[in-house]
Amino acid sequence: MSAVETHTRVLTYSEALNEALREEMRRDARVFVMGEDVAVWGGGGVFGVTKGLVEEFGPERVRDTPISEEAIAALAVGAAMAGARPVAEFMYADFMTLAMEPIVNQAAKIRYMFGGKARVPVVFRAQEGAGRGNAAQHSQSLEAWFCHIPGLKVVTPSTPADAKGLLVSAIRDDNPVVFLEHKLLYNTKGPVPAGEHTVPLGVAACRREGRHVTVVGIHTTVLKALEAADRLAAEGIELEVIDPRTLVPLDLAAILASVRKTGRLIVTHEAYERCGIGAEIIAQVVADAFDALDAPPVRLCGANVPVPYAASLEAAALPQADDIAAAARQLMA
Amino acid sequence: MTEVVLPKLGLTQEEGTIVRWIKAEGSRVAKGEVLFEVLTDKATIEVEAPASGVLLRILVPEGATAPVATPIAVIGEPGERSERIARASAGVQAGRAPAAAPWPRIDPVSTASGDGRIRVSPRAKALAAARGVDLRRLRGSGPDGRIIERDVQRALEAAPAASAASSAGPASETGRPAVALQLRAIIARRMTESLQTTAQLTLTSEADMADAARLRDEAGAELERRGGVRPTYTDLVVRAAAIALRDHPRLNARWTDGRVRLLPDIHIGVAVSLEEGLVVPVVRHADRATLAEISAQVRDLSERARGFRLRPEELDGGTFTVTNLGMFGVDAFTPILNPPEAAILGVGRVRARPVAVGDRVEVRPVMALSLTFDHRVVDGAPAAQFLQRVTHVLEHPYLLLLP
Amino acid sequence: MSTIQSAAPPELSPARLVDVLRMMLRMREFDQRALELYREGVMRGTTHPYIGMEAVAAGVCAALRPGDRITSTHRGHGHCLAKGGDPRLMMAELLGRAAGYCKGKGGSMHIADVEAGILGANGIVGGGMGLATGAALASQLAGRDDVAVCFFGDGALNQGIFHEAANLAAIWRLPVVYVCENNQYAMSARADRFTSVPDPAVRAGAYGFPGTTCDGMDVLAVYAAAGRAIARARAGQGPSLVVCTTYRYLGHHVGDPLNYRDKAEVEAWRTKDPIERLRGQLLERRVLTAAETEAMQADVAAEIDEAVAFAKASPEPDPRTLAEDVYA
Repeated sequence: MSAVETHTRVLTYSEALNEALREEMRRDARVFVMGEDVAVWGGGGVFGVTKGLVEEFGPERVRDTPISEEAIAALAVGAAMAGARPVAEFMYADFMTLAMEPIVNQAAKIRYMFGGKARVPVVFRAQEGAGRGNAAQHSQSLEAWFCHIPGLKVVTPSTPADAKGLLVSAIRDDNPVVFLEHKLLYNTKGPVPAGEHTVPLGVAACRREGRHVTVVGIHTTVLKALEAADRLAAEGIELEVIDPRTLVPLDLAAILASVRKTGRLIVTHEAYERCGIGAEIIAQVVADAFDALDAPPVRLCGANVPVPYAASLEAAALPQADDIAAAARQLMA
Repeated sequence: MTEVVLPKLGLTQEEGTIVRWIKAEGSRVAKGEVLFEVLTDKATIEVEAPASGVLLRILVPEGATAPVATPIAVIGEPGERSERIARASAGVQAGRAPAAAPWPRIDPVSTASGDGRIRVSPRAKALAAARGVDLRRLRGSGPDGRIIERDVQRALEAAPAASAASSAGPASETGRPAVALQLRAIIARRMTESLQTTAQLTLTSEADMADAARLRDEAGAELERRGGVRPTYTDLVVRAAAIALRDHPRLNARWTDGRVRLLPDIHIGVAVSLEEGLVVPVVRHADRATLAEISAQVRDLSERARGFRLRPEELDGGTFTVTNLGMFGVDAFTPILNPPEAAILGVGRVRARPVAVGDRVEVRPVMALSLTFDHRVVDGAPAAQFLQRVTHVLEHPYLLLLP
Repeated sequence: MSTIQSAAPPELSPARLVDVLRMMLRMREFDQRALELYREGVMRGTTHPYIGMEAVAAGVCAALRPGDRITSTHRGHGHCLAKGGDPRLMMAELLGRAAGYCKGKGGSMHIADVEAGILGANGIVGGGMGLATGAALASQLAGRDDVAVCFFGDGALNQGIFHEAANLAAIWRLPVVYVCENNQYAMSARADRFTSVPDPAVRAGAYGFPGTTCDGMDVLAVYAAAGRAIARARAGQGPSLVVCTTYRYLGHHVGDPLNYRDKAEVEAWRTKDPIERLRGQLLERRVLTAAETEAMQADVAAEIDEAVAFAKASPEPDPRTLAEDVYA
């Protein structure tokens, strides 16, 4: 047990992100953080991700901003072009809507438009997700929008270890990375390796092996899939749960390998079903592994409604472990 | 919403094979409109829609077999949910409650195949192709009767050699492979059953067909002039048998529950040879029909038999069968009884042969008649008398023209 | 209007004045030639001529150091040339050739040379606002004394990003200079009708930093005003707004119907032509002779001829490079 303790610790998702920022800011003086309430509020950040950073690095490098999402993003891009490595935080992914111009028209395109002769090493961090009664404008999952834009990378960690490892990799990446966390995951705990820990972008993780149905999930739906898997194991149905971790670039090979094994695919995400990342994954799987499919792929996604406030409605609007289990049973019937 | 179930179309029928869906999924059907064709233990039968509406879902595709009284399709109005029914009938394993639809889907009207295509998942199709399994022989256990991987796997486990052998065959030429295989199975079963359960033996005699031939020509010409058809030798024999059966009711009987049952009506089945196998449509009340009527009926039944368009009642209820192999050069043979009938008359070819007429030898057209009868029902002497009567009528063919 | 309290920039030496004149000639020649190429059908998309506004880019950039940065606009050829851009690579980019600044992937509105401090022309009105402000932030964080200049038009004064960026620049005292090229029109929208204040410079006051207006047809006036603002920024005193009143002789872009302006107005502004003005001043001061100015004109024409020839002779991009440079 003690040997394990020296090499991994149990941290929350939030603590893991904090560690990533701290270590990278120590390692590279060009890295700085800016966003609303990242420095002062409650010791650092509405979700504690930037806790204690201003004390160590000062208010220049851990910079509170006014409520100016477009400028937060645009300044981050400009700073990145001028030699800095900014990590810009948006309090809610929903607010990134105000920053779409600098993210989509500038950050994503500058390298390509300038013939490869510029770099925009910026990380745009935000948290997504529903389940806490924050209602329609504070509960969205908008990763599909960013996945759609060439030039951006999109990351969605679901565990503390991945949160740290991927944030370190994102900061070190010379491209604009949209780094999407989930509000319900901040307090989840998990083992995080000590010392230098990176997770490469573009590599999926198999969270659980199984022979019968491949389930691809994002953020909380990974956890719900695992919950469904536990239940179904007692019924003799084995789920194989794949967590892509990065959506762009997508580790399609991992998903295909799983589908070739099981022949059945469920893709589940909180984001609205219509034109969500599930559609893209399924289109790619069908194109590349049609002959491996024993049943049509299934999507279990957020309903095409603004996220409602009442608990019962919100629960009904999101895919739950029960739904994953039911869909898997149906596929196996 | 109405479930369409596979009807029981014969007393002994236990299952049927869907030959053809006349209407496609998604199309409107009217109550009473022909909806599908099913192959029973006798032959193919058209079945009408039990209700009006849209054919929402076909649960048993063409080529697949289902037990009698199981749901094979759903008729309703668009938007009605049929998944529950589909899942319930498409082989959900016992003990597993059908899952409620997990997601409030906005259900598009399903497109696809009431058009004769086999529903099969790509994975199953690939496996079947790789291992030489004929998909047409499989019944799908997936949703909507789709053939899925485990169906192919089960087929491989059950009969790996057989599946390899079945991939080619005469059935493919006709385009009705499922039907052919099913019919063969039926014939095999019935013929074996006949030989095993009855005490059958065959008597033969010969009829001098000179006068019958002349009648056939002359009456035939007249009938054709009137827009009818020229009678065949089979038609003459059917008429002759019907006349003879009036006087010999023991041959128009069957063995039921340990005793002989004489049948009141005379319905004569005429064996029709199809590529897929033998079918025997029935000329009802052949004793009351004229030669012209018999001739027209036999012609019509034969044509429809070849097109698999016979109705159930046309295959059922026969009391006696006539079977002609003369056109293939057969003189005499030993026809097998068509259960539960007590007798069957086989007809050979008309051949010019030297025959003693008085003291002279003449060349006469002679036709062999082979009567197989069930000795449990009738003895040899009465059977022989019947055969004698048939021969007599054919040799005095004006008797065929009497009512 | 508040004046910028820093010291005036050093007077331009005669040699530098000659350079400034040459630069303005180069800018005009370049954009005129671009128009010809467009009409020839050799250039795609569209182009936004800077003709008439040369004094602004030339005057501002004369006050910059090589390490300083600029962001440009859709009407950006002048800015890029004035900051040291190579006309040949620019022409090649306009013609969509692989040898262009952006390997043919950007075109007129996205010409950039980040190494030289040109953070790109921009197709989004106000798009450079936040970028320049961010570049200034990076300089401040790194403890450098370089300055960022944001060129933008009167139309961008009303984009949200102007206000957000100005506020941030003010609270953080960023070393950025906002140069508003007020050519009176944002496409057909007249500045005096579409901006809530008659004098745009007062908007700086809303954010607590100095704003000043100068004659954008007088390169020396622009130089003086910009120079002060740049000095202020370099000294760590924060941002300023320099509004240069100028005029584009031609339309917003090629094919502009120009039904929203009258010819008399254009003619009136042409009488204040910045190139003529500086040439006149240099002749008067005997820095140059008439013959020398003509020779300069011919040189510049030859330079641009050569740039066009270079561009026309350059190969088009290989389609196989389509997916290159999306990611670093």
